[in-house]
Amino acid sequence: MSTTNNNNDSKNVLNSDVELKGTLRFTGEMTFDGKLEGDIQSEGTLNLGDNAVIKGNIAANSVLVRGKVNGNVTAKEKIDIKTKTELFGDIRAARLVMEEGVTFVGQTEVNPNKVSPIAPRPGEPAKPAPAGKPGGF
Amino acid sequence: MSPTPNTASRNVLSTDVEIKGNLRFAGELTFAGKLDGEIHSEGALHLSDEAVVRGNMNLHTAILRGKINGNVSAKDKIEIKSKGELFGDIRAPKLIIEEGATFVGKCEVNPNKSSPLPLPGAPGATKLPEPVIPAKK
Repeated sequence: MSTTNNNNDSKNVLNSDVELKGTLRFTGEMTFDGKLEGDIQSEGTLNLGDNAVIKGNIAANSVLVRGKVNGNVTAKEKIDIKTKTELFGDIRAARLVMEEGVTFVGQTEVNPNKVSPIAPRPGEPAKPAPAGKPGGF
Repeated sequence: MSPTPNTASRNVLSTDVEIKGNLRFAGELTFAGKLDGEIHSEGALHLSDEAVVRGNMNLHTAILRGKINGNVSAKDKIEIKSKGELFGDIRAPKLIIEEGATFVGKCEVNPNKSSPLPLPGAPGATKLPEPVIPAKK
């Protein structure tokens, strides 16, 4: 009887000596402190280290962002951006926490309660454009 | 005699206030009312949970709660507190976002004017040693 226990307990670690080109998938938890050129896809938790350098998009359940990221970050649950992080790309998550000292250039779509903007003034262009692709990086 | 603009003049507008038009101040303002218009200041703005602002804000420091539909730029720092709802763009050297905040818009927070990671193959991506050209005879 094998129901593979695929949704936690596995604690993966890739240290700063790692360089990876390609797509990285995991289900449990991953601490990544290396260099990645490619995407990360997971239903689990990703912890980036201060040395992490990522060129690619990240999609996970929750992401703790450190290091340098050039790409979009999407989380089902939560994105936590720690100080000194440099993030160029867009963010989409139910919850976002950002510390002071972060570099972040991009768009955000963080709307935990799915609220709509308060009605714009009559004759005013509605609201900022919805988050999409990053502009020309 | 010019008024000293940056002494701690503490202005307060409570929940019973409604303003249509532009608001300027020099020191500090705690705002809990409704504003249809812009806020310009070299000082610090504290929006309360009850505040509803439709319009752009240009400040030194902004601590945001309540509901905002407009762009916010700050010379120093923007903080979005847990119950804040911001639909609009942000520009500041420092940004702090608490968990639970709603933020849909673009973001330009780049205190050290960093640029995104160089694309693969771009100059600076990997530094090749200077080729040694043998002298042809």
